[in-house]
Amino acid sequence: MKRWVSLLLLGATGAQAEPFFLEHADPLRLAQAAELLRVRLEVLRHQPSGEATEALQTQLPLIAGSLTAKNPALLGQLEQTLRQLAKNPAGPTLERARELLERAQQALIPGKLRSDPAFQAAVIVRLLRSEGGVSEGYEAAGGEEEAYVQAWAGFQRVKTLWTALKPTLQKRSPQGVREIERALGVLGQLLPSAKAPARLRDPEDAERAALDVSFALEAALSTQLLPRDLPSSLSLVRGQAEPICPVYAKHQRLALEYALTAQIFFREYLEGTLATLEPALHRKLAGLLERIPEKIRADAPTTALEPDCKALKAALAQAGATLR
Amino acid sequence: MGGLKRGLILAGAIGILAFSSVSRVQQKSPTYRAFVSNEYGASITVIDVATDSVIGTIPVAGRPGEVRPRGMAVSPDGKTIYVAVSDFLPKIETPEDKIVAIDVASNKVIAEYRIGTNPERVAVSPDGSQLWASNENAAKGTGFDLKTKQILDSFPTGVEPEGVAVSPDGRFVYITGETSHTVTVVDAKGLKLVKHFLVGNRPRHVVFSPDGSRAYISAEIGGTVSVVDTAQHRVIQTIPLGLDSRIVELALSPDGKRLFAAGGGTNAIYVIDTATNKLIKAVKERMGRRPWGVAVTPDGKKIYTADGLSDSVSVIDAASLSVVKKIAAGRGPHSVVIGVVR
Repeated sequence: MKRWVSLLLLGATGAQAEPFFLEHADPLRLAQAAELLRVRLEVLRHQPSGEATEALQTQLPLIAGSLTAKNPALLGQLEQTLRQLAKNPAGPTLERARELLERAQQALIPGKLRSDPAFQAAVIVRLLRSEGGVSEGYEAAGGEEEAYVQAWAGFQRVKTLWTALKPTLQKRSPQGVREIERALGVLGQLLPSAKAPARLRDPEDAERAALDVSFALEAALSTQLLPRDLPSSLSLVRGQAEPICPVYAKHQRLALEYALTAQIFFREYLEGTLATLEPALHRKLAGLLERIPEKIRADAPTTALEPDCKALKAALAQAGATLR
Repeated sequence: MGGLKRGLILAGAIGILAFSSVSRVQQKSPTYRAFVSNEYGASITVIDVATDSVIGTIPVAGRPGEVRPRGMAVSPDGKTIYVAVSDFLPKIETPEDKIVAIDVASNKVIAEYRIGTNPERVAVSPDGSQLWASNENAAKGTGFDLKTKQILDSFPTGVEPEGVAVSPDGRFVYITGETSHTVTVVDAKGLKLVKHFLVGNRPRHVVFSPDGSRAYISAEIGGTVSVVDTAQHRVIQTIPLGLDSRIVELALSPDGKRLFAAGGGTNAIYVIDTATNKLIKAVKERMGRRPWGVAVTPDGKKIYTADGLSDSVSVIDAASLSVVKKIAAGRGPHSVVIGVVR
C-alpha cells in the first residue's frame, strides 16, 4: 500500500513538466553561444579590431567541447578559420566562418528542436537578454563603441530569427505578434544603424523592450522561456557545474565548456542576489567559478580539480538553502 | 416664562442652528487632484478628480525622453507631491537628478532637492519630515531631512533599487532591489541598515498596510505579490497573479482591505482582498494599455491608473470595480498619486 502511494506521488511529480528553458538547457546554451559567435563575426565585419577577434576566441570554448564530440573535423576547420580572421578579417574568411558556424549549429542541436518554434523563441530571448546580448550591449554602449556595435549586430540577428518565426506565431497569436513588432520597433529606434547615434537613450528602454518581446513570446507560445524564480536559476547553474569533474579526465574541452557556462549563468542569474544576501558565499562561488576554468586551461591533474568541484557543489547546496 | 421671552429663546435657538449649518456648508470639503508623471514627456499631468478632466500640465525637465519623471509620493497632509526625476547617466550625479516638490493647490513647482544620483522612486515619512529615494544605478537608498535640507545618509541596497516606502510608524524604510530580487530594510530613526531579504523575481514596488503590520511587494517577472510580516521582515505569503501579469505599482484602499496591483502585461488592475489574500477581480474591460501606475483616492471611491502605452489614465469606480472613464495624459504615463486641496 505504502509503495503504491509512493509510486502515485512519484507519478504526480513526474507529470509536472520542467519549464522549457530547463528541459532544453543544454541545446539552448549551445545555440546561445553559437549565435553570439555569429554576432561577434558581424561586429568584426563592421569594426575590425583586436578586441573583436579576441572575443571570438573567448566565445569558441563555449561550444568547442560539444563540437569535439559531434564533429572534431568541423571544430578544427572553425578554429583554423577564426585564427585566420585574427590575421586578416576580410570578407571571404568571414563568410567561411559563418558557414562553418551554421554547420556547427546543425551538428550541435537536433533538427527537430531547431525547427521547434519554442526553441527559436527561446534563442531570441537569450540573444536579447543574456550576457553579451542586445539589452546588455546597449547598456554598456554608453562607454564603449564596440558594445554598441555588438548590441546592433545582436539585434540584426534577432530580426532575422524573428522573420523566420513570425509566420508561425501570426496564426497562433496576432496580438502577440503586434506586441513583439512594437517592442522590436523600439529596439530599432535605439539601434538604428551600425554606427552609434550621437546621443544614446536610457538603457532601461532597451531592457524594457527586450523584456516585452520575451513576455510576448512566452504568452504566444504558452511556454516559459526564461527563469522566473531563483531555484530554477540555480538549477541552470548546477546543471552546468555538476558534470565538470566527472567529464574532466576524458573530455577536457567539454569540462571547460561546462565550467565557463556555469560561470556565465552564475553571473546572469545569481550573482546580484547572493552578493546582496550572502556576500561571503557569493565571493566563494565567484572565486571557485573563476578558478576551475583556469585550472582546466592549465591542464591541472584531476586530483587538483576535484577539491574545487566538491567545494563548488557544497557552495551551490548552501546557495540553494538561501535562495528558496 | 413669558410668551415674548419664549419666542426670543426659540428664535435664538433657530438662529444658532441656522448659523451652524451655514458653517458646515461653508467648511469646504477637500478636493482631490490626480498627478500623473509622464516619463517620456518630462511633465506631470494634473487631473481634477471631481470632474475627471485635465486641469494642468507641469513641465519638470527641458529634455523630454532624456530626463524622466518617474516615481512619486504625497506628503501626509496631501498638499505636496514629490516627483523623482533623473537622467540616465549612471555614474554621475547631474543637476537633472533631483526630487521635485509640487504644491497641489497651485500646481507649481515649489522646491527641488538633490538626493543622490539617478533617483527612480521616492517616499515620504508619515510625519512629513523625511524623503527617501531609491538611487537606481548607485544601488543605494538615500534619506533626506526636509527641515535641514540635508542628506541623512545613504545605504547599500540590492541591485537596481526601485520601490521605496516608509512604514506608517516612520521606523522602517523598505527598498526593493529589481535584479537581486531583494528588499532592503533601513532603520529610519537609527539610520542603520537592518537587513536584506528575498522576495519575488524583479520586485518593483512596495506599500505598507495602514496599521503597518504588513507590507506588499510586487514582482514583475515572478508575477506575484509578496506579503511581508513587518515585525520579522519576512515573506509570509505569496499571491500568484499569473506569469504574464507583470505587476508593478501597488495601492491600498484607505481602510487597507483591498490591494490594487497594476498589471502591465495583461492590461489589468488586480483587486486583492487583504483579509484572505485572494484575488477578487481582474479589472480588464476598457482599461488602457500597460497600466503600471495605480493610486486610490483618500475617500476610497476611485482608482486611477497610469497607462504607459496608451498615454492615458483609466478611472475605476471602486464600488463596481469597472472602468468609468479614460483620460488623455502626456507621453508615457509612469506613476500616479492623489493630492488634496483643503
